Amino acid sequence: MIEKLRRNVEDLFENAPKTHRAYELKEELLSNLMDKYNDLVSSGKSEEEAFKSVMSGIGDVDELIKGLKDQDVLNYEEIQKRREKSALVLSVSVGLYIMSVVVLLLFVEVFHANEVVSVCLMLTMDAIATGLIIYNAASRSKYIKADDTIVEEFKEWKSANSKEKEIVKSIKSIVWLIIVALYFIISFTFGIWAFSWIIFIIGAAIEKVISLSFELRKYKNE
Amino acid sequence: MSIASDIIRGHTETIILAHLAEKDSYGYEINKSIKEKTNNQYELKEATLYSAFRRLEQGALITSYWGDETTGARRKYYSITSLGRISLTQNKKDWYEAKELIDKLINGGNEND
Repeated sequence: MIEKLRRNVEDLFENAPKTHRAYELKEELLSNLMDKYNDLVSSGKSEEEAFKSVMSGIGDVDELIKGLKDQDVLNYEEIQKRREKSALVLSVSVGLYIMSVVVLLLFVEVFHANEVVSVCLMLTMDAIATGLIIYNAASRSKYIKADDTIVEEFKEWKSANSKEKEIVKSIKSIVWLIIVALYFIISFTFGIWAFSWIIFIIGAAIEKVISLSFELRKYKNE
Repeated sequence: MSIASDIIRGHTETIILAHLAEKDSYGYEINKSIKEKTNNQYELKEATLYSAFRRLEQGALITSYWGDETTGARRKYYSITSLGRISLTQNKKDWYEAKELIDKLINGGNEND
């Protein structure tokens, strides 16, 4: 009969959010109901009667469960909406990157437009795409801990960490875009294709410097 | 009885505070004492009880901790805070005032009626 009681309580919490708080409330309710059940049985009621009396005494738990949901930092629908928006921005950005190359080829090969102008056009498109990605990463909601447990602290720390990673990634992608732009502009204007590729090696060095400076800053903060 | 129940329900939080002012306690024990004190006439629904606990805890009038029962399920105990005691005194005062006024109002101003 105790098992039946547990199952019934589990059913009541079917729609509750899967949080630590909800679990605690369920445990609390169950322990109190079992106390009541045992009391009723020892006072001479039959198991069936006691069970019925306990279940009918619970009342309407919907309000209680709704309260659990309200306490969540963000509700699930909002998170879902943000994810969809973020995915949309990201796919538009990737589309822009690909289209920029197509535009470049089209202008240079088909319309025989000025090379510098065409490259500038491509890079402008890339810049917009990069801007969108950075905006997407920067406007992502920060994870705020729901309660004072170690798990929540870890989630918050992880969120802060990954946000910094996003920023570093964005900076690096901007640097590489500028390098590619410089490569084309210098090569086209001076016609020094033979050795202008050296700019990519310089680029790699700059990337390492960026990574290193962020690592050093992290050390200092700690 | 249902009107009386409604009136009592409006004072659930004060009743819980009054019980906790005597000693730390857990859900079923509080409800059992309510039942005994009212000669089996009144008993809180569990849902009402836990909603009240939550409101009181959010208002910092009570705090909770898990008991260390070695047998059976763990119990969650509640304990009144100093803020809770102040609130209880105020609630009691409010109730006596309201009771006196209502007595006067429904007895037509004649207390010997």
